[in-house]
Amino acid sequence: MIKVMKALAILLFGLALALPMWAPTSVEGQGGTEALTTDMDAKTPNDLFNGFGDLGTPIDECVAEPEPPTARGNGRFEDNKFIFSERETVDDGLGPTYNDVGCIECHQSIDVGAFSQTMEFRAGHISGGQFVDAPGGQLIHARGTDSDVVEHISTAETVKAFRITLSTLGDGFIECISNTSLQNNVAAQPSAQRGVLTAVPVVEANNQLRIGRFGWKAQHASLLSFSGDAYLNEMGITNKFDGFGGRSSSDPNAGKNENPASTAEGVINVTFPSAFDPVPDPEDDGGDVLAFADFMAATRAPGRQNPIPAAAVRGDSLFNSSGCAVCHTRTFTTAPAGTSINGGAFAVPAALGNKIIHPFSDFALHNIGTGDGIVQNAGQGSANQMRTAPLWGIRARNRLMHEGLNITVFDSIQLHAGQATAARNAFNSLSAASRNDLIAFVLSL
Amino acid sequence: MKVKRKSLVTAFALLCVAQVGCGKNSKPNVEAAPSPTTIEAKQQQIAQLPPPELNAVQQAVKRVFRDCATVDTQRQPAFVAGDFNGDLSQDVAVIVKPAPGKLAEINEEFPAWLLRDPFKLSVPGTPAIKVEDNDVLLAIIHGYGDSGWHDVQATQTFLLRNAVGSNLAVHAGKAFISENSGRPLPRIHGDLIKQVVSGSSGYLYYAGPTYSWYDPKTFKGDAQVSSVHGRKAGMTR
Repeated sequence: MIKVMKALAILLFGLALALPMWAPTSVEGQGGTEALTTDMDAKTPNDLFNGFGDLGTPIDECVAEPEPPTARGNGRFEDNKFIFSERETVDDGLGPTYNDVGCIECHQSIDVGAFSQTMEFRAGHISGGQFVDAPGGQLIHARGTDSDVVEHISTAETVKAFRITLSTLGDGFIECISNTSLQNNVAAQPSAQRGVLTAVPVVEANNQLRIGRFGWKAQHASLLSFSGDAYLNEMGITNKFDGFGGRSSSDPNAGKNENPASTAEGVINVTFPSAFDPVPDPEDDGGDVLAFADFMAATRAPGRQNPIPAAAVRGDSLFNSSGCAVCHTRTFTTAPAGTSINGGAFAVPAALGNKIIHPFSDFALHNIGTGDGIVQNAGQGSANQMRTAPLWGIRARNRLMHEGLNITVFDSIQLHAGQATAARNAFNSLSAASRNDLIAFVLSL
Repeated sequence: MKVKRKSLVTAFALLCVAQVGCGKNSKPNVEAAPSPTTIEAKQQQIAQLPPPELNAVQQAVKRVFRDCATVDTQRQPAFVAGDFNGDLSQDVAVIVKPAPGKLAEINEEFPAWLLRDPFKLSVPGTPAIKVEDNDVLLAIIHGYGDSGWHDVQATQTFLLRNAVGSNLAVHAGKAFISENSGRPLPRIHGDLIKQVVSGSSGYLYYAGPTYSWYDPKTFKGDAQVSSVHGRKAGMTR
């Protein structure tokens, strides 16, 4: 009997040792605590920082220049915020074609990092049933550093779309939602409303794939990729994270190309040194891009209206019962701190890990009848699909939907068709008072 | 022996708990990578439906407006069908009149339709458009799925003021674009509604948040877009 007991003890001991191998190591959020939020009031001091990295002190250039991070998370929030707010000049590499002179120009209201009414313009045409970029690229810049390089499109570009800028507040939390969480959420949607998640390259991780979540087409998965892209495509500043030509940041030619300019005389491939490009590439060594990414990652999530009006309280449950919440997903929990994300290029920091957030988006593409006809990196079938707009913080903007041409929530709801038809019809079947309550709820987000 | 067995089971349980707890901390979580995705374009074609008939059109109007508006049967034609918003589902454009005594309902704050004037911009600060007693309106009911505007779910409707003229007809969007190659055009999503309005021949076209009027003689760019952005659309070389 003793021998049997000994053998059993060894067996059980071995079993216990091996048990963790079968235990789930999911990156799903477990429990979690509510993420810090901003009150969406620019006058409230110290209301943006969520604890990712060091806070630092506000920059006074007479005393000291801001220092950009050298790797993600090792800089200071106030320095990064200052760099995010700087206006670039030709000497910094601005242009030759660009949309604006700094991040803050498009991401400013109600506070640094949020919205603006600025829109970018994309164009292309249909050939053989496929969307084709306008010559020189689908993004048609509004500005230039030389009148000879300002972009013009021809009448052959029949697909034209404007897109309004998005808020970046709370984007660090979105970056830290695991692929699995996004996939599980979409899998639970009814088939008629189910969104499509896209797998997009992470530039800083040798183009490893991750679920896209940033931008109107969910075309970026990491804040560094998004920042590098924006620095080149919105400001014309080359950097190793800009993704030009599908290059990863480790490609020896990364950050060496300006955007081609589609001018009245044809496409100009601008190269250094030339009259249009006096600054050697890469025009940013990566420090600014890291500062942009870390600034956004360290911002708090947009908080609810406070106090919440009675009508909004009444409208809360109507948002679910009308089917809005199917795509405008209320809640996600970020991956636990330490989880390796972005293809291994970033570990979820404690300030962003296991946090409960309420973005009101599934970050998936849907066809709700408002598609802009533009294809980016998700294939031709995505031409008329758009990412579900996150509704958090929407009360701070009055130009809605991707073109920013709707000025009321009511109109925006009425424009929902396609996969959102049932939700729109459910809204319309409510009493006038209930419709008002539901709109009040949306405007309390 | 019972004591020994109990101790053994207890020790095993404690070891399991400790192992599970420690195991999670020591093994770093790595996010699972997704598979590549490419959303393929579906070669969809609009379902062929018979020409619209008055009864079916009246049903569609009733579905959207209940008893607030009726088909203006004095007009010929009073309705045309086409894919005006380009979603591969057939829509119907129908001339309607407010029903007697229903003006308040048709002007309610949150109606189940989008009241627009293709000749006016919808920008903050402009007075809300209101339907008046003797207005003749153009209702464009967007289709849903293969059944198009016949579908019970097909209720998305633009109700257009100042948009009814004469000689109501449909012009296919693709043909229109190829026929007008080289001319400044608005962004055409689908088919166009051709009419003569206030003596001018032109086209109503879907412009996303509204329907706009395209007059080939006077068109310079999408007014809605240029009003909120410095750059004008429809520009030419």
